[in-house]
Amino acid sequence: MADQFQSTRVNQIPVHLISTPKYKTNFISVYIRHPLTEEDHTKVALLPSVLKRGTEKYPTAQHVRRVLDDLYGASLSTDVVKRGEEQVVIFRLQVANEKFLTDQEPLFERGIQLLSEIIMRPRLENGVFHPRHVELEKDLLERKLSQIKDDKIRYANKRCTEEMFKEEPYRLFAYGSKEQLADITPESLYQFYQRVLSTHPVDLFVVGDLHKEYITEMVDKHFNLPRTEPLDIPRVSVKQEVDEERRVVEKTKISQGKLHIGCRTQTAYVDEDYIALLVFNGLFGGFSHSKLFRHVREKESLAYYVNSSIESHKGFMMIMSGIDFNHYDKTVQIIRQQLQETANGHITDEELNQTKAMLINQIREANDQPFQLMERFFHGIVGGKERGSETLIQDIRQVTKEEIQRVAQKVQIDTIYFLTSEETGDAS
Amino acid sequence: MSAEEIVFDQLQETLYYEQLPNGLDVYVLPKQGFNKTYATFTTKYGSIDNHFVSHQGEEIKVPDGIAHFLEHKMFEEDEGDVFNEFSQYGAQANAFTSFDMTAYLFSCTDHVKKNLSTLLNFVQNPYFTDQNVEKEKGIIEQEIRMYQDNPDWRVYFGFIEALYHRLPVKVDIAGTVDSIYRINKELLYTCYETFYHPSNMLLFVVGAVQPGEIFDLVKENQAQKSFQPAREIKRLFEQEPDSVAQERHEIELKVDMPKIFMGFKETNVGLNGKEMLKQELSTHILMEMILGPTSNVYEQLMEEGLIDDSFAIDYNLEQKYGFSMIGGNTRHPEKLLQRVKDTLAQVKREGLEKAEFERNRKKKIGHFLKALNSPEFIATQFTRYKFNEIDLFDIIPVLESLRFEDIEQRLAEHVNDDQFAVCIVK
Repeated sequence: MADQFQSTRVNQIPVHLISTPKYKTNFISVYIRHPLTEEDHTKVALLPSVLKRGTEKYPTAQHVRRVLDDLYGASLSTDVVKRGEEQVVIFRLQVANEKFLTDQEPLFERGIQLLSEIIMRPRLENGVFHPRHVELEKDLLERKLSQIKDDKIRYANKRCTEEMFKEEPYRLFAYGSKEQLADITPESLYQFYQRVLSTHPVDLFVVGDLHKEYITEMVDKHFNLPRTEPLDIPRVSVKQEVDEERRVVEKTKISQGKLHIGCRTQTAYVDEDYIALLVFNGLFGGFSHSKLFRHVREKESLAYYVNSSIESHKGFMMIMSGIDFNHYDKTVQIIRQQLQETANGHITDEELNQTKAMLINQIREANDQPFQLMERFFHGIVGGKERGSETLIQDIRQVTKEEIQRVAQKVQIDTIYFLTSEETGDAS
Repeated sequence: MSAEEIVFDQLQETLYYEQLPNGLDVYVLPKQGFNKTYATFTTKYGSIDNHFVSHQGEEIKVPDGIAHFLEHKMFEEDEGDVFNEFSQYGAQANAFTSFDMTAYLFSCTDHVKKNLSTLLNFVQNPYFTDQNVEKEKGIIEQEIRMYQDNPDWRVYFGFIEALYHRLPVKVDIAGTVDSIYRINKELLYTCYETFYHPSNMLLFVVGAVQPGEIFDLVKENQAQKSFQPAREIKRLFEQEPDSVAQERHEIELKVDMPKIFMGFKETNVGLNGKEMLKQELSTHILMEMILGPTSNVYEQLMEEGLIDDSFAIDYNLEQKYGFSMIGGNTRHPEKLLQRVKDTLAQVKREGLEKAEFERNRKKKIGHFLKALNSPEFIATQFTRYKFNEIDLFDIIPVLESLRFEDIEQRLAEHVNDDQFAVCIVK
């Protein structure tokens, strides 16, 4: 299959690659996995930006950006995400294929070389990260964390997650916490990074119009990490029951109330009924034909956006909507009712078929987007179960109403979070 | 098949084009190896077209936000919701309204023909009732309020408001909570009849398709419908002065991190074709050279803690308006404002560096190639450019033909204190 990864190992690193003439650029990603812990999560969040700030050869961020521009506007981005109770650092590099240019530089090799320098040859001073770089990036991260409050939807999402997972590592924010930033020094960060390079699981992905042999040769030439015993990251625990539903109301200066409802699905990526959960979420709140959209928006005009989404590994589903401050009770009641309806098996053939068609379409569309393909494959690595796109599609087709009903019955509301205006009285 | 075949050798792309008897422009770009097909059906009608001569020959001024309201209402048909029909065939449908156009679109990996027919049919079949128009007001009110809570949107619009005295580009695309409550079904039909004639529209299909089959389907579909003869659309605009409306616009939102947007109002407007493209690309490169991520000053501002990676530069050019835009999040908006002003003044005095020009040109070429992986980019940008009589695929040749002197000329024309405005959200 043209859109399926082939996996191999080079220098002890798993390399997943697709060789295809489909794109005008070549794509490389490096995924580094960390257990999500209070102790380390802010260091993990800080690492990729410190690394991107300079290498032995390109000592400042400006030098790094210039070399990217010289590679015909190659783009290098980094991201830190949560996958279950893992924190994952992702480096993504996209570089033009020189066959579309008048210039014939070997851009792929120069790209992968730059990426390896960023990861393996960071700029050091006295054997640790450059103090000024660490200081600058700490300040930038601090500002980034302060700003979350300004984006009300994102803030509500973060707060709802924190409240709901108070007692579990999943409460931790992927970008770290302000409190812990102060204690990080160039020494402590560098020591931590040495541990990461030798023991934390690394996966490398390449998609492009390149021969398999050439890709592995390039990886071999440029990626040789000081690997020792790899760290075994334990599979995340999925909590089974909700003891008591909780409600949290917070007030701020705002013109629309943000309603976020966190639910426990009690179903993880590896489970047999995960596919039924995918279909359930689509039917309930994933699309514009879904129950939430039809009932909250189209029938009652209560909201512009209302949707649900699932987190694949922690057994977590979030429902979100932006509503008038006074419509809290009414909206929550409709959402509860729709969840109950699904659990009671009120599912029409039409909505079932629509949901399956939409999910299958999403999977096929992602096959045209290398970075999304990598994301999907990586879910399989974290979740401990490989689900190729064709298998996924076959499995979705076979989901029955009864299976959806069964997963819907397991979904429980855990925390209802409402961000409302300072000027209104009690939210309810 | 009688479609015209346009081959772009260097990019290895072939585009097919035909204008139908009713005036509709149809473009098809097959993408080998792709699973996805993406189609846009776009009318050259956006939020700035609020004053015009209607299809019945009357001069009319309509409430703000009506183009966007109309976009919402197109999805409702007598038989129900159009989204429903798309989802039965696995298509993801959507629409957007900008200052200058309204686009309806879908993407899918199966049943392309069925979905394409749905797209053509729903956009060409308005169904407005008093009741369904009323119902939409609550939804759009929540959409407007959602944007009011978004400081990035507020600083963007606050900046445009500062630039313009009269041009409706200064008004939020969705209108205001007051203006949308003045919209009724009669006004919607008037706008529809005036602007949704096929001769004012463009269909673009890109992806896993056979061009011949697409043209056959579209032609047959259009032949079954009757339209009024095409007539010229007369849009009315008040004279917009060269000066900015307000040099400084402040918005109090109590954010933790202030936001600043600043830039210059373009006075050289009213262009189209290659001339317009050249101005767009050269001004873009100019601003990148002065303040872009690889400039010396960017690095200094980062060091001084005045900017973060939200700091960005942009240049927008349309027939009626244009502006450059510089800014992002900052703890010290006043200091940043002063540093940017000083930098611009220094460049005016001392001139530009040629090496910076080459680097930024290279970067733009690479970014364009990257964008060509995206069917969404191709369809929407092709359409936007076509409405301005520009060919998207001319970008690379025009970039390659730019000279350093072109950038210097733009520096002299565009970077001008009298056209400078700033908006700060704090």
